[in-house]
Amino acid sequence: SGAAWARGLLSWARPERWLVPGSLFPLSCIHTSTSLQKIGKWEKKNRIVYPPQLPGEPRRPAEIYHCRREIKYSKDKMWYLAKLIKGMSIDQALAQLEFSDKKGAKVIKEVLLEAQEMAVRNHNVEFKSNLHIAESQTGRGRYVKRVRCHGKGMFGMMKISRCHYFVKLVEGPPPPPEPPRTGFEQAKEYVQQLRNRTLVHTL
Amino acid sequence: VLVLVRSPLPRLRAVLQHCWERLERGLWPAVFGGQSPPWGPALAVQGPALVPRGLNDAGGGGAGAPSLLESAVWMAAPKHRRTIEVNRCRRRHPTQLIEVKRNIDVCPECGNLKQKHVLCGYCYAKVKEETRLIRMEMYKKEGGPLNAPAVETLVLYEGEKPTEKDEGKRIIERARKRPSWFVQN
Repeated sequence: SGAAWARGLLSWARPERWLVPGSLFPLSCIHTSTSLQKIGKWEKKNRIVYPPQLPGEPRRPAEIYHCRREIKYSKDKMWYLAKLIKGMSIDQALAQLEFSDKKGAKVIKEVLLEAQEMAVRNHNVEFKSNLHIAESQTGRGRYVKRVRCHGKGMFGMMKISRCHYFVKLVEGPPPPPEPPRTGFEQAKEYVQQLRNRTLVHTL
Repeated sequence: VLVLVRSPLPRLRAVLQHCWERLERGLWPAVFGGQSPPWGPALAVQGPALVPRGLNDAGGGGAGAPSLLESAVWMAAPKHRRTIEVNRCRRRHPTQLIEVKRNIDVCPECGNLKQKHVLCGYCYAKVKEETRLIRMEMYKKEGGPLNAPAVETLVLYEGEKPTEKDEGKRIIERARKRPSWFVQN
């Protein structure tokens, strides 16, 4: 059953298989995990194996997915840090996080360093500085409800929140930032929308 | 005050019913008709203990907490739910987002990152550790707390000797090479 699971996983991972028109889903695509700990979707993204590239194609940049689960921090507060480092190079992101006063900054710095090491060791990345952060997101972890005691014997229910943090590193320099939309561009778009209007159900 | 007594035996039930009727007749003679005592104007006496009623206490206890109903001051409360779109506009406004720091440099001594107006963390930790060891030597020489001598202290590393200028100073020996950042006068 282990071999069948591995076969099933690899056949699922090959994207070319899905592009074949008219092919039914073979049973080997379904795999059942017997372990109690569910492997998350983000961890599985590291396992996709692309077919070898043809000689003329441009080099596909390496993508490294890493995450940390059940961090004792609020997802909304963590989101601000994730938004800060989105689109930066990894060195700049580490510099910003080192001098940030937030609790989540230390956690995200550890995650980035782990991901960098994984990239160099497992994902065939040549220069550890040649990485940039393509995606960085936070997710809601498991909440636990607890009693919060107030004065005069009153109590309220508080929730102890945890969060997940997901990051995707891509090889290469960071993409240039988008220029802000000018008024001229917006006006051009509006005029184009007006020009696209047609009459329906007529000759 | 209500007393409910349910008995399975019919005879006992009949006796109890009879007793109850007598009690009711005694308490409310006017309701049950027949012999009602002659009544007319009488003296009214205030006595809360004479007519124990649980309703009064319940009324007083209930009205004690929500006294806001009677007070003239209305408290502010939100009228409508703030939609997630409005919440997002507030939470993601540029003033709420974390600013990108532009005052980060590289320390020329150790190569770690440092802020421009702050000492390098790594170098500071190095100096702090060495100072701690010097202080331990000083404590060993003094023997106890609050025994600091009233003379200057001189720290000498391996292979160093005090000069004529350093007479009368207390000498602390450290068994290691002089660190590059500790300049000797």
